[in-house]
Amino acid sequence: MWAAIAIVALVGCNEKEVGSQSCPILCPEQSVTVKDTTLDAVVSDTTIDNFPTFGAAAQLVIARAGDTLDSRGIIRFDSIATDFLPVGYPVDSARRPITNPDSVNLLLRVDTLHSRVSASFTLDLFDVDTLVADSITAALIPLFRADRLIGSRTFAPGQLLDTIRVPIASAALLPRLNTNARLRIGVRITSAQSAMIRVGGSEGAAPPNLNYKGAPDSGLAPFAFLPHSNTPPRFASAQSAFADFSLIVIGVSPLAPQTLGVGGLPARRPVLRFNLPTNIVDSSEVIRATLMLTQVPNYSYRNTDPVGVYPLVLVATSYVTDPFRSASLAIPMIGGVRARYPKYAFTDSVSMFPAGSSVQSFEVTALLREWRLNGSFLQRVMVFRVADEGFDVADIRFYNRAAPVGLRPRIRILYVPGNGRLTP
Amino acid sequence: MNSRAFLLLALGAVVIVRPVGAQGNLSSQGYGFPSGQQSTRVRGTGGALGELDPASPLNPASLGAVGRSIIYLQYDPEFRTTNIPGVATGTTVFRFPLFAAALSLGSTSRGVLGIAASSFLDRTWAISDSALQTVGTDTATYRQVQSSSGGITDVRLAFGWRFTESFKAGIGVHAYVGGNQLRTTRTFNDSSRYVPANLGANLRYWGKAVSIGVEWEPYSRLALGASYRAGGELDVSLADSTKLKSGHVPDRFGFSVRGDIAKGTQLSFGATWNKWTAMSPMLSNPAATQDAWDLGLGVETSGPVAFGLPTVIRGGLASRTLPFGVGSLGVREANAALGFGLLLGGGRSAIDFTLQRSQRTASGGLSESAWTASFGLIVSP
Repeated sequence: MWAAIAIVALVGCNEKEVGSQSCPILCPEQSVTVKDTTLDAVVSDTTIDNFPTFGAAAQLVIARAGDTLDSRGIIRFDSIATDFLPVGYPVDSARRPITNPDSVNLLLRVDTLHSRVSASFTLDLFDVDTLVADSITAALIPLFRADRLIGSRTFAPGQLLDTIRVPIASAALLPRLNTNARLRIGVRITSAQSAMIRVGGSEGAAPPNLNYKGAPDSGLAPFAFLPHSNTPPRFASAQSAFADFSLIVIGVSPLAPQTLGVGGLPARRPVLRFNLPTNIVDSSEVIRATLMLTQVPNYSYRNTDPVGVYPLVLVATSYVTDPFRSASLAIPMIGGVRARYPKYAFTDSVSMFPAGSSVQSFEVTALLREWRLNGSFLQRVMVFRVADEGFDVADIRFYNRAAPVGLRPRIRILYVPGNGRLTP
Repeated sequence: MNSRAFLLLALGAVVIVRPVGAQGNLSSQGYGFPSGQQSTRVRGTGGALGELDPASPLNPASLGAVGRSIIYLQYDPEFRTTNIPGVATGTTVFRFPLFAAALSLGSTSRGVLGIAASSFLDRTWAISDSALQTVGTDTATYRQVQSSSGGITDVRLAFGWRFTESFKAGIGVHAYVGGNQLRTTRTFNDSSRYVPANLGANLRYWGKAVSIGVEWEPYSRLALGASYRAGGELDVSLADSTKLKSGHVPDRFGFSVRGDIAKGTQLSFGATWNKWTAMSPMLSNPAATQDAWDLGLGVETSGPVAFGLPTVIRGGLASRTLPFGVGSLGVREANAALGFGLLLGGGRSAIDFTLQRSQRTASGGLSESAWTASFGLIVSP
């Protein structure tokens, strides 16, 4: 605490009066002075990993980029049909067991805008059902092996359409119908070059489908099943999360010392806590506040793709002590609160790319005003996230407060001191 | 604002002003403009009749001459122009500077109890200006509105007693209450990316004083009135009761002489001394305050019958020094006034009107001129 105060005090010494418009000669009151100060006001910072919560990402990332990225998809179909009604049979007829499924395929809906393939690629499907704890990455990775391959298809880059189908061998499905009536599929991509496709998940609007017909009969309508998980038992919300998810074999690289991370796979959120002089934030009118974060170049996969970084307002109270849970309770400044301020009073997002090394500026005037207005509720904390959190590989790095002066986070505040000369 | 202060403000000086592009003004420096606590009638005689007028809350003895219950209301819009070399700007101020009521006691009506709320110092103004401001490497155009509303209201509870037909005396106790809402809003042009600054503070005043006075008519054609106000402590504090500064309510001494110089025509002279420096401790620049004499000479005569009603015509000249100067520069004010009164109900009620021209000057070519139209209504229930 004392160190923080000392830092603020020392760095705050560069405060200077930069704009004093002299009052007209007969103005009964004093002139208004604008002061400009730049502070290393971040007193603590950290990076929280694994956002969003497990299974909550709207898309699955199926990607491979050398030894820097390996992400696969796990899609569970734990409730599938084991019998069917042949064509021409009355609806009240006894259903017949499926013994020869036909046209079995996995349908994936592709986000072609954000998918990147530059050469032919192959999607391999594996049976990843196992009796061991199959939500554990280490347990799942060995299941992507040849004897569990149940389907495969190679696509030319031009065949990456918004809907693609990967055939599954009927013989691979049949045993599943005869045992526990579920099919859990692992999807892996391989290519001569780096490749990444993003496909809709069950948390989004375009989930995958498992399709098959009960028999080869012509005219028989195929089944289409959405992802579903029956495990863990008795926890419906967790079952929904496990219906499909990205299995990240190789994700973001560890953070170097003196850095913060935002985005990546799995996604990170940096959390910055501020200690601002009360005479500025509480007793003055801040007319402009700009948070400046210096990027650390990160030459990870797709490091020149632009990504939007969003500043968030922490609405968790100090009673929420779990860092992940607290950082989860961070929201954009929107709605009625946002409408109270001009557009330029708060930066909704800044576009940048991972390989950048420049200073990124976020306008936070509205936030400082809110911190003053709601001081008893709002913690003076900012959180950052990327838009497609959990399914965008962009991995942004910033210097943290331990970095050398000039690189660490700092905030420039222009303010009009309040309660100056009150008496004439 | 507590309910007491609100009520008193509502009863007292209500002032409305709209912001204008201005260079400030001469009259509202310091803690504000002293309206003089004069009724429309007194204003029409240059203030000379102040110590002999029951509607003006100056001399409590004058209440003894009323002999009946009355209610008095006044409205004073002022249209002023402030000049500094090369710049002239206009301002309109709407004031309701005086409310008074008197209650006659007993069957003989020798005693009269009066209450009055009057504008002691009016610190209401609003100015706007635009300029280019340099902030670091940026320049931004801004528009700024500074305003103050409210002022100090003198609430007087007084009692006057008519000992004889020619001698009255009275005593009053005063409470000085009110407040100022100070606001500064600076709005920058949109491209500057600066959020508007809104600064403000609410000031509160509390003070007290006691006044005594006499009114004497040694001859049938001569009347004298004199009063003295002893000021007590006057505090200015923030709305949260944090005291900022303390001074004293200015001591005040005034007298008026009125003589009949012809049938239906009276000439009057009045003088008032205010120890405004008692408020110096309340100012950041004490040197801006100075004690001052107010002098007035007036005439009041019967006028023609209008609409079947008798009228009174008045005229007056006055000179005074305003209490708060511009820096160390004092501000002089000269007034000329013309007015008339329309007597209603056999003289029990009256409508008064005065048009006053004021010229205020300070060194350095600073000047301010103003027209004030004063409307007064006195009724006797």
